[in-house]
Amino acid sequence: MRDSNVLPYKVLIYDDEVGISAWGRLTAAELRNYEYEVIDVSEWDSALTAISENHVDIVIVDLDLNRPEDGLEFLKVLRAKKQAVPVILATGNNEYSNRPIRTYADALASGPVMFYLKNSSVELIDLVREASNRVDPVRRSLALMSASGMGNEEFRVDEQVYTVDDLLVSNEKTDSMMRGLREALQELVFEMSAGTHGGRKPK
Amino acid sequence: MKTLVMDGFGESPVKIRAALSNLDKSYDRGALILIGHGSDRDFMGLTSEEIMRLKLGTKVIWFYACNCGQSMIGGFAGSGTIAAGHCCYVLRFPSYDLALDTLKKRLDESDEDIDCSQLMSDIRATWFDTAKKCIERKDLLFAAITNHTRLSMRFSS
Repeated sequence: MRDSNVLPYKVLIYDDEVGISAWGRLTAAELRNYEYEVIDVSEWDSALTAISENHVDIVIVDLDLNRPEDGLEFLKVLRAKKQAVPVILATGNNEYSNRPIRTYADALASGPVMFYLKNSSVELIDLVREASNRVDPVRRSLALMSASGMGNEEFRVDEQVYTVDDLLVSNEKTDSMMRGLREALQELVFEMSAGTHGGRKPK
Repeated sequence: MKTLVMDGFGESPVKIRAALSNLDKSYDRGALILIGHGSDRDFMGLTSEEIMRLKLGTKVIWFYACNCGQSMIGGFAGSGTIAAGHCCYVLRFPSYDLALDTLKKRLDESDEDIDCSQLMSDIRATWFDTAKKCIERKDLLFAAITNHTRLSMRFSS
């Protein structure tokens, strides 16, 4: 059972097969059983819109789409939109699973990416859990604040005042700020676990 | 020790200079927290030499700012003042108020023989506890910002 204090991770599944037995739809149902919040879409444009509008935490996309572009192209478009979310590329098509790894070099270098072979012995839920460990905690906190109606809460960054929603738009300034906050959070967790606070010099 | 907070955000350097000049006549051996922004050479348009020429007479001067605070502390420390600063460029408003309150309270409670290392250590410990509590209630963002504030402290004496 889910801890009621923990807000669920939001997963988007993009599989362009439709119908009640479509892989995407079945997977969405499975993940909902594990209390993930799932958005299940079958259209390219609606997938991109849903990701940007809903502050999705994890994306699962079928590599083999029924259109000229495949899941790798979708990932490329996503990254070009500064979306650094963990992505699981899923396929049941041998053509994709037999490709040499260099085919995926750009995808792997673009951010957190994982592969899922449908009908393999690996449980998708295990991959999704692994992907949730790679979600940016600072951005997720901002997204949760925004979703809770706190999008107008203000921050002072240097001499400018920004809102939560402003900060969720990725750009040079906010990316640098996010990195600083992520490092501060990692340092805090490290010190809490090691019990070293006060003994370490600040950076 | 009496602590005075001067918030320079949105104020002109002329006004800040005038306020500091007036302070010169009426304020002695206390702590002064200056809030504002500058550059790596000045604070609110005032260089460290200009501020030092005002002969503030404060025991502790704290720049609650960004890198400008950090750039000022060396000069002040040389004149016998305990100087501290931040290079904390992001503040969520509740964390800003909380950090400032902690700082002011600790300075208010101190006497003139204040030990700078102990002061900094106490404030760091308070902010660490605050950040830890934020983690416990799953407010990761507030935790990150509070810890960022803590890690941003610099001082000299």
